[in-house]
Amino acid sequence: MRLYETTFIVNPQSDDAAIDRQVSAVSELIKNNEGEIVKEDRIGTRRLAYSLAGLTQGFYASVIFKAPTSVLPILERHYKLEEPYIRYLTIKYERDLKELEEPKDTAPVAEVKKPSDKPADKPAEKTAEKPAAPEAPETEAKKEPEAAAEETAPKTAETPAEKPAPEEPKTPGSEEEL
Amino acid sequence: MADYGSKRRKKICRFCENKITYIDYKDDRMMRRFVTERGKIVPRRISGNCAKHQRKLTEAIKRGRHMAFMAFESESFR
Repeated sequence: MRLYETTFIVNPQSDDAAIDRQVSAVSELIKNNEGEIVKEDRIGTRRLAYSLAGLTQGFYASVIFKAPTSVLPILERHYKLEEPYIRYLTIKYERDLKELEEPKDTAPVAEVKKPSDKPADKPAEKTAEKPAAPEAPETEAKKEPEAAAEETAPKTAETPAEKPAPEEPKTPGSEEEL
Repeated sequence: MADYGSKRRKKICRFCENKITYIDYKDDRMMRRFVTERGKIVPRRISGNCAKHQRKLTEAIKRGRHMAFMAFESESFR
């Protein structure tokens, strides 16, 4: 059993119920193949950075799951056969699972949740609780790096302009030699 | 550092500074800071990232591009 994360884009033009069905279809597929859902995250409709299949928007969802390797080809086949999925990506989940729960300092519930994390091989009851809870921590975690990056960002914008300067003196030198 | 530009300050890896161990490819707002307007990944010598984090960042950016979180290239700046 390994931890994976699969993210996919569903065509947002289909109605909400259809989108919902596509997302739960992935979860169901994993469950039916000895997999176990750790977290299901419906990111929602957002703009695509470039047009895909003639669309400018896509409904994003991601599922973190624990499953034997045999699930992956099945999952991939599912994505390929069903048309509403316009992009998908399945990767090994490298992040520590604790990070999903950790930033929840504010809620004392965090202590209760941790033990449920370790015996994750147990029935689906416990995994059912999770999807709702870790959502808050994720958004919190994101804010921190952003804020920090913003402070230092202007530097990167400036430096590229500075850099080419030291290189220039070289070219006149080589011309003289010729 | 070198002879020219005596006032050059040492760049610090922002990920090390903030103790970030995992760079999420879904976090496009964060990744955008390490990409030129055109969409190219900013080299380490300019962004100041450490090798470890630069590796993780490029991986994340490339994943992000695949999932249309980031653009492969953009000419929007003209």
